[in-house]
This record gives sequence, C-alpha cells and structure tokens, in this order.
Amino acid sequence: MRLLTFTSMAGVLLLLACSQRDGAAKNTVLGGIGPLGSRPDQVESFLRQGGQLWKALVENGTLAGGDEFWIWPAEDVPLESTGTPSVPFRIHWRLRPGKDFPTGDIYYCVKINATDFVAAKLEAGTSEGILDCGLDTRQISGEGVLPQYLMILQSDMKPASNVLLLPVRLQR
Amino acid sequence: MMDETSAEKLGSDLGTGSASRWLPWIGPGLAGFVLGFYVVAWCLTTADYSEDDAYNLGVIRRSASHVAKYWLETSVVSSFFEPQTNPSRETWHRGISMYCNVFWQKLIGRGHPALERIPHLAWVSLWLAVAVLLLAAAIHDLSRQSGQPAPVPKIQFGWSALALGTMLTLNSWGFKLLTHAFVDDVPAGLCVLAGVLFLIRRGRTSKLDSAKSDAMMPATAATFGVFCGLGFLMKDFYLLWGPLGAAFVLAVLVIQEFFGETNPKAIRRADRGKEAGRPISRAAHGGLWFRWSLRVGLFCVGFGAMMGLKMGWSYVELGGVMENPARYGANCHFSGPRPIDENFPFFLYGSKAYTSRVAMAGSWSNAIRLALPRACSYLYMALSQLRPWWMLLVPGLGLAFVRFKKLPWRTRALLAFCILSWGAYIAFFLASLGVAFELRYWIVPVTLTVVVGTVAFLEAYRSWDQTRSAAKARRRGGVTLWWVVAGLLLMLHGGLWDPSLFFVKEGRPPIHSPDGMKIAHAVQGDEPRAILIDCWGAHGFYREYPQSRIVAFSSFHLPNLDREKIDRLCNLYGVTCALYPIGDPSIEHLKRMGFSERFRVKDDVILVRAFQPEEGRKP
Repeated sequence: MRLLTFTSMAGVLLLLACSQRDGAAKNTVLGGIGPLGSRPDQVESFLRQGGQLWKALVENGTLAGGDEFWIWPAEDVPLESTGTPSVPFRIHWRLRPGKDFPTGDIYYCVKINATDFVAAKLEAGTSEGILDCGLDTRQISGEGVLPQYLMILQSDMKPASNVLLLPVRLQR
Repeated sequence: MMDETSAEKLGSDLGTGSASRWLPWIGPGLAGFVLGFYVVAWCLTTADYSEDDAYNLGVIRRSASHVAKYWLETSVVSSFFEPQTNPSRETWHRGISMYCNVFWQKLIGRGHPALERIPHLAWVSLWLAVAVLLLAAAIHDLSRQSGQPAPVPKIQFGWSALALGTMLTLNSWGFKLLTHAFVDDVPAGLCVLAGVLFLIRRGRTSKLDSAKSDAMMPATAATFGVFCGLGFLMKDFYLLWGPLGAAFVLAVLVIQEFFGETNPKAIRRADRGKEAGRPISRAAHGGLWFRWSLRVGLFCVGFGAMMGLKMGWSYVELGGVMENPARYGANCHFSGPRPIDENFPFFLYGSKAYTSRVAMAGSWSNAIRLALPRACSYLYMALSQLRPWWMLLVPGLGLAFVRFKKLPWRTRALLAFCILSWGAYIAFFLASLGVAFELRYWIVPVTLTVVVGTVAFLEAYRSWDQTRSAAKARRRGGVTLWWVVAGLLLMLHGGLWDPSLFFVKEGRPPIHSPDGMKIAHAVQGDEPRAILIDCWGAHGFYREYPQSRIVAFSSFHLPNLDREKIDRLCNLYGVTCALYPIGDPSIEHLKRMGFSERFRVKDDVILVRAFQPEEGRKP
C-alpha cells in the first residue's frame, strides 16, 4: 500500500515537472520574447520595439498594415536556407481585441518586389497561435529584408496584420 | 415455367436440401457484393479531373446556378475560330444526359459532390444491367439450340454475369468509365446497347421457335432506330450509329434469312413455289428485297426522327443543324500543319482555314498526308490499350468456327455486331473523324465483345463438361475449349505485356493547387472580368468556379502573340488576371505584354492586368 502511495505521488510529481518543462519549452519557442500581456498597448510597444533581427514596419508613428491581427516571429533568427527546397519558419499571430475572426481565407504572404509569395494558410478557429510557414527556395533566392503579413482573400488584397520585416538569406 | 427435365437437372445440380440450395451462391454472392461496392464507390466518390469531365461539371454547375441565362450555358472560351460571346450556349457537349444532370443539380443544390454523381451511377447500373441481359439472351438461346438437355444452371449464369461485370469494370478502362461521371459516353452507349437488346430479344418465346417469333418485325427495326437515335441525342459522336445501326439490321436480316434456324413459313413457301415450278431460292425468299428495304428504311425513319429532333433543337438555339465546334477541331487537329492545331487563335490572324481540310493543308493530298499518320498512331494507341477486350473476339470466333451450324441466330448476330462495330469504329477513326485514343468512345464494341467472349467461355466449359460420354462430342468440346484457352492466353498476354491495363489507376489530380485557384478567382474579380488560363488547367478551374468567365488559351500559342493580339484577346473577353504553372513560357511573355506578377502560390503564378473592356465588346 505504501509502495502504491509512493509510486502515485512520484508519478504526480513527475507529471508536474513535465508540465513545467512544457511551459518552459513554449517560452523557448517564443525565442526569448517571453509571454506577452493581453493589453493592446503592451503588444504594440513590443512590436514597435522589435527584436534583434526583426522589426515591425511603422509609418507615421503607427504600425503599418491592417488592423485584424498582430504577428511577430516565434524565433528571433534569420531565415536561412539549409540546402532543402523549403525554408521553414514560425510566426506567432494573435487576433486583435474586439475583432472577430475574419470569414474569408487568410494567407501568410512574403512580399518580393510586387509579388506576394504565399508561405502558409491560416486556419480559422482560435484567437491566437503559431503558424508554420515555408519559403520555397526554388522560387526565391538572395539576401535582404522582406516584408511579410497576413492577408485576407478579398478583392482589395490588403494586409490584415502589421507588417513584419525579416532578414532572409536564401540560396537555391 | 421450367419443364420436368430442367427441374430434375437443376435439382441434381443444386441438390434438394435448403443449405445445398444457397451454399453454391455464397461465392458469387460475396464476389458480386464486393464488385457492386467498388462500382458504387468509384461512381460516387472518385473525383476525376480529366478535361471533358471537369468541363462538363463546370457547365452543369453553371447552368444550374442563378446566373445562367440558358438551359445549358458555358462561360469558358476554349476555341478561337471566331470571336464568341461569353457566356454562351454550350455547343461541345449538348445532350439529354447533360440536361438530366443540370436538372438533378437544381434539385440537390451545390455542395454535394457524391449526390451530384447519382445520375452517373444510374446510367452505369443500367449499362451493366443491359450487358447482363444481353448475356442472358445469348445463353438462353445457346442452351436451347446446342443440343443441351437442360438450360444453363442459374449458378453458371451467376458466375458468367460476375465475370462479365468484372471484365467491364475492374480494370483501367472500366475505371475511367466509372470515374468520368459527367461525360455522355455511358448514357449514349447504353441507348445503343438497349437497342441491340431489343433487336435480338424481340419476339423471343420460350416454347415456340416459330418463324413469326424470330422474324424481325418492321416495328422492331424502327424502334431500334429510335434507340440509336437516342444515342445521338445523348452525344453527337453517335451519328455514326445511323449507318452502323442500319448495317446491324441488315446483318440480322441476312443471318435470319440464310443462316437462321428452321423457318416453317419459309419452308412452306418454298414447297408451294416448288409445286408451282418456281426456283426454290426465289420462292423461299419471295419479296426479300422489299422486306429488307422496308426494315432498313424503317430503321432510318426511327433514327432520322431522333436526329431531326436534335438538329431542330440545335437550329432553334444555335442557328445551325450541326453546330458542334468539334468538326472544325477535327479539321485542325488532323490536317493542320503544325503549329496550327485546334487551339490556334484563327480570328486573331483573320484566318478562315479551319472551315475545310483543303484550306487547312493546301491540297487534298496534303490533308491526307497529314491526317493519316496521326489517325493511325491514335488508332494504334487505342487498339493496343484495348487489347484485352478485342482479343475476346478470338474465343467468340472459335465458337463460331467449331459450332457454327449449331449456333442460334442471336449468337451469330451478336458476333456479327462485334465484327461490324469494331470495323466501323476503326474505319471512322482511320478516316480521321475523331480521336481514337479516347477509350470511352469504344463502350459499345467493348461491351458486345465481352458478352460474346463470356458466352464462348461458358459454352466451351459446358460442352466439355456435359458431353464427356460421347467421343465425337468430347472431341468437339475439346476443340472448342482449346480455342477458348487460346483466346484467354492471348487476352492475358495483352494484359501481361502492359499490366497497367488490368490495374486500376488513380484519378488525375487538378493541375493548379486549390489555393492557387482560390486566390486567382479572388484576384479576377466579378463579372464581366475574365481569367486567362492554360488549356489544361482551365477545366479544373471551371469545375470549382463555374461562375467565373474563363479564356482557356494554349501555352503553346500564347508566346507567339504580339502585344496587339494579346491586347485584342484580353480586351475582347475582359481578361484581368492570368493563372499559369511556374515554368510556363507564357508567364514571361505575358509580363512583357503588360501583365504584372501578383501572387505565387505553391507551383502557380497569378498575373494581373488592368481591366480594359473593348468598345462594343460582346457581353
């Protein structure tokens, strides 16, 4: 009986430790950015501040782009090709307060010259999450800073989120 | 009603206990269930993106929508002989089955991919049922005429029907027929096969073999004509069944007259003639030409009535009796000196060469020189892919060779139909009137041949099995069986040479990605704006976005158009957007001609252009 009690307690402790570890892992996923507060001004200031390698585009003192979502990179690392045809990266997105999830299809686009390269499709359902994206190195190569944003599929095709500027170094 | 001998035989075959009655049916029952399951599953759930199927589904969906102005409406411009309105009445695939599909679509509404294929399942079920009934008619006659003491046991018929269904469906040819849910070949073929069934079953009685029961009545010929005409109402290609159906009628008359069973009336007539001093042949076949002419003529009346109906309908709606652009397409496809083909934009160059083969090729000799190799290569392609099916003629011919005198006229007629239909189709395609490699066109010859082949297999087995006691009969049965085995080996050889013929293939995926098409449609904007797409991708796009106006233009010809011609084409049809796969030479050309790249999605490139409607542009 004692052995059973001891084993159960050890199991519970182990589970707790694992859950803590998961939480730490989630924070690590955010690349040291840390958990953000839910207040809009906190997020806005965080985006204005930017990271070591990325920043959000600001025009006339406000975040450029649309006002449906906030987006920022899940990891503060440059996008570099590693010899694979696709360069994976992750973006953290959050629906802005007071906004309902848009009804149209939403795509994550990377703009090169006048062309939007679709890197991922955002599935509807929640108000916040991490989006797995990919850049096709068969189509994109070179080095530079590329604007990126979420776009709702509608006739005007304007950004629905703030515009991110991410450094990219891609080789075919 | 079954006579005593038959009942005894059947009783001895199946046993008298209740368990022994149904036990033999477990095998064919289970196999039939599995076969039926696959047929239903493929018919209802396997999406197909082949060109015609995708296009027809787009037409059906558009015609059933609230935007349609005509009963059968298309908003795809895919031929460029003359400028045309967009949207317009459908001209390529006008047929009753298309209207049935539109009607059904209106009933169920959009968004039920399995339900909208129900009419196809119905056509396929009827087709298989008619094939089984043809087999039943042939087997019934065989059992009466070949000296067998009893009818074919039901269990043997069950296995034969199963073999027939398997040969028609569980292979790559059958798979194409089952998954092409919106093309008109199955309903059209069904009409002709139902006519053949009517023709050979008409007047059949189980007890009397009188002349009256087997002789073809004039009304039978006329009704057969109506059935063949219905095939033409379903699909223009079945115009071929005018002359071919008449040949069928003539074949039945010849077989009945000269190779038929004992005809008491003819014998009585011959006897009377002999008494009167007339030559026997003339007396026996008195009024022959009149009777034949009457029946062939009545067939033509029946066929002509249906043909007139369709042509009148075309005249009222389109202003001509035969307005299918396929006739111009065939001129270009077969006799066009490359790069001119059926996708060539004739009106942009002010050319009318598409109207005749001579104008297209320069002279008759050139036209033939260009057409013949193309027709031959397509025919070779088709016949080599259909090897396992036409080789079934070998056991059929073997049966006729060994037991010709014993065969009833219906079996001989079926064999004659096979030979006539294969011959006529080969001649038709050799004359470069159609493309032979569309294997679904061959549904009637293939079905008839599979029926004859199945009959031959069964008859060979029965004659070998039931005549073991008599040495002569055994020899005869053995020879028949060897013929059948030779046919089977040939058929297997055909399949083993190219095993893919016997394996089911997956349906073709769409050329453009779903996201690419979705974004392109959003970029295109609402009517009257149109989208320019490569020929192959246009039809897959249309089935998803039937409300869209589409210009399906060949990537082969687009890079040859200069700025003026591109502007004229785009302004005429209101093109604001283009969708091409990455790597297509049209993309760079369109960029040079004023388009700008707007999106890249997976392997698709979407280009845009300012909307500049041409003055006086047709709606």
